[in-house]
Formats: sequence, C-alpha cells, structure tokens
Amino acid sequence: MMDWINGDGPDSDIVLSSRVRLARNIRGIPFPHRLDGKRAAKVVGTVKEAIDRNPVLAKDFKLTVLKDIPRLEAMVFVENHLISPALVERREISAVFLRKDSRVSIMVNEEDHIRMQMLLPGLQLGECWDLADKIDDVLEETIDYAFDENMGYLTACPTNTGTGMRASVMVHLPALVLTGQFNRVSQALGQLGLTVRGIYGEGTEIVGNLVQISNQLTLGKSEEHIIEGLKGMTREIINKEKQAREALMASNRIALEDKVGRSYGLLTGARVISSRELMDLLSDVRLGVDLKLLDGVSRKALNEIMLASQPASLQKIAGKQLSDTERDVFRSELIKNKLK
Amino acid sequence: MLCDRCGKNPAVVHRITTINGKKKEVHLCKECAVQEKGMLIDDAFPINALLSSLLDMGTETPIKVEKLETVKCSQCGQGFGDFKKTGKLGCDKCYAQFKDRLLPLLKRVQGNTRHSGKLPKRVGDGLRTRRELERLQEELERAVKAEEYEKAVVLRDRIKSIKEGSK
Repeated sequence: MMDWINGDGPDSDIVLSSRVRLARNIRGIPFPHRLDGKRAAKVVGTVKEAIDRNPVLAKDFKLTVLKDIPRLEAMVFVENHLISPALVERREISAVFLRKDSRVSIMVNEEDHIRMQMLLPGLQLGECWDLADKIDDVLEETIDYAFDENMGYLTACPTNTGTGMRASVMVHLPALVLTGQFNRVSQALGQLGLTVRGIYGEGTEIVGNLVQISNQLTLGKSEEHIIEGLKGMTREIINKEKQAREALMASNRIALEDKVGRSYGLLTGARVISSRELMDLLSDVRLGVDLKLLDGVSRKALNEIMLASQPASLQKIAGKQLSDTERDVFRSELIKNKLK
Repeated sequence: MLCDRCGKNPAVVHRITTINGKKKEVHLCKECAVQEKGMLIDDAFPINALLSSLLDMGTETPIKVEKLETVKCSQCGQGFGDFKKTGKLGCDKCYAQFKDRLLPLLKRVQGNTRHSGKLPKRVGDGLRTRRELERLQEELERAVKAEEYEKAVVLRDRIKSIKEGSK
C-alpha cells in the first residue's frame, strides 16, 4: 500500500503527497503511438532488461502487463495514483513496473516509452527528484535515451521536452477556499508558471478542496531549479493556508466546529452518499482533524476512505459490479466501517 | 473517475450546468458521451489544436508550409502534418528532421529552446565541460555585478583551470 496514506509525512496537515515524473524515450524507436504490438513488447523487454541488470531494482520491482489484468484492476491502480489513465487507454501495449512499497512506478508505452513516477508522503519534492535521478541513472546504463544536446530529452509531445520532468504536490486548502482567497492564489501561481488543477487531472474541477500544483515548463531550467521553485511556492501556500486557518479559528471557532461536526455526522450517519458529497465532507473532517477539533479520527482513515470509495476500488472491495445507487449505499457502509 | 453512465470506462467528458442556482454535474466516458445528447465531442485534444495554431503563427508563406507537410520522417515515416493533427511527434529523429519548425514552437510553448538540466552519462565529457563553463561564466558575471569581487576571483580561477585542463 502507498505510504502517503498514513498521513505522517512532512507538512502533511496540508500537503498530502509529492510527485515527480520523468519522461524518457529510447533512441531510434518510434514513440508508442506509432508502435505495433510486437515492437511495443520489445520496448517493455528493453526496460525489463535494464531493471533486471540491477540486483536492487530487480528485487524491488514487479512487472504488470496491462492487457493481462482485468480492466477494473487497472482502474484501481489509476484511482490509487499509481498509473495514469493514459496507460490504461493504451492497455494493448502498455505495462508498469511497480516498486513493492508503491513509491515508484515505471510506466512503459504510455505517451512516451518510459514514464517513471515517484510518489512520497507530505512535502518531499527534493527527495522525489533524488530518487528519480538515481533510478534514471540505473536505466540509462542499459538504455540509450533519445537526447539532443540543445533540446534535451526528446518526448512525444514537445510540451515535455527538455527535462521531461513534471513535479507536483497535492495540497488541501480548505481555509483558503472558505476565506475566498483561493482564486487569487491560483491566479498568482499561474503567472509564476505553475499549473493548478483538480485531483482528477487536466481540466477537472476542484473537488474536496484538493488541488494539484505542478510546473508548466520543462525546457530551459534545470531539474533542481524547477524543484526549488515549486518547493518555495508550496511553502508560501502552506503559510497562507495556515494563516487562514488561524484566522478562522480566532474569529469563527464555533462556526468552524459546527461545520466539522455536521460533516462528521453526515459521514457517519448517512445511508446513501455520492462520491462528490463524500469529498466535500472529507475535506471538512480533515480540517477538523488538523485543527484538533475532532478526537479519534486519523488522517489515515480519511485517506483510506478517499481511495477506497472511488468507483473501481469500491467494486473491487465489493467483489462485484455495482450500479450507481448501489455504489452510493455501499460507500456509506464502507465509511462506517473505517470510522468505527 | 469512472463514467457516471456505464461505470466501466474512465470519464473523459465533464459537463457542469447551473440552472436556477442548482448545479448539476455529468461525467461520462467517450462512448457514453457520444450517445448523450449535447455532449458530442471533437476527437482532437485541445492541446493539439493549440499547438498547431501556434505553429501557424509563424511568418512562413503557406506554400512553404504545405511543402513541409508532405515531408516524412526518414526514421518513422510520420509527416509533419500528422504532428499538427495529433500534437505528437513520431520519434526522436522527427526532432532533427523538423527542427526549423519545432524551434519557434518550443520557444513559444516553453519560452526557451535550450536544455540546461540533466545530461545522460553517454554524452561526451566535452559537452559536460562546456555546460559547466557556461554556468561558471554566468555566476562570474553575477558576482561582478553584485560587486562580490572575492567570489569573482575564485570563479575566474576555476574557469581558467578548467579551460587549461581541457586543452
């Protein structure tokens, strides 16, 4: 299981997780969207060879070929942020090497031949990059990367060319939203070359006050530079959110306690609950836990509920297909169990 | 997020409507979206459209563009026209082949055309040294500007010794 779920990483009252993704391609081989099954399988083989040649990696990583597992299983991986939806879309040719601790996944034949992702709890962007850099070094011993002196690592889409790196943090900003400051913060981030989006990816609405912030540009700046920039901005946002939380506690404590208490009541008492409603309630309760307004609820339980109550995960736990309504009912039962 | 209708495929089309202050959200997969009235979508990703419109912002005459679009990459066979449609290049060689058109695009999209990050170990020491020298030179200029002369002297000596070492 992913350890960010435990909710005990640095600054995890605001930063749920940090992520770094590197895109790499193999010299002389067409990008995945131009590969037939046979050549795509060869790419998987090349990556496997690179991993197997390193005793540590060989021991820690497990290969999953996407077309060999049920679609539902693959969607559970997506819901747990271990693979991207695009990898599932290409499941005829794609594969993933997943590290035992789920902190690292090396996706093969997504948009690029290789997309390695590091996922760590709390604010640990530097640690993510160090890990990515090391794994990249190992793969590079065997794989001849597509690289150009001037344009850097070459990727299928020019928006990733250069470092091929996308670094991001997932942050929970309920107080900035409640105090109406979020839009301003979000605009400022945009002007600074950072992208702000909901947790379900590009173009999705912000749900449950959870936001993903990532670098927009990949060419021209070094990886360390990009990481430092994002880390600095995340620190700023943490401070702003903390100030807003303190202000709310000082001026509106009763109202805040009321909001948290009501949401907790709904979470534990409701019999039918949609995923959208759940995300909003979870946000209130999470804030209550952070501000110590609620006893006996752990961040871990909230994170587990968040992941387990998504459609594919729910159906996997239930062991059968569930309709919309059945899911909303089953979700409420799952929540009650977790919050017991 | 899975499709609201079939619950099987990932939702890729999202519609949020507010009628009389009441908000309604629909999240559908591509197949279900095609069946749903008013949700019919264009196949292309917006990013492709964006990229190709950026490409057309150049000053080249249309005749030249047309000619280039029929040129195919010698390694993967993808034409430049395909890139305009899909937003994706065919292989690493495409970058060299279509460099003249890609560089202005990179400049617009990325604000830069020069990688200054990690270098694979396979690239020669020559490039590594050149990059290190450039970095030190920039640092030296900054130090001089900030009137940090002691630091500048150290940097100057480092540059000198690297230059002499690589001769």
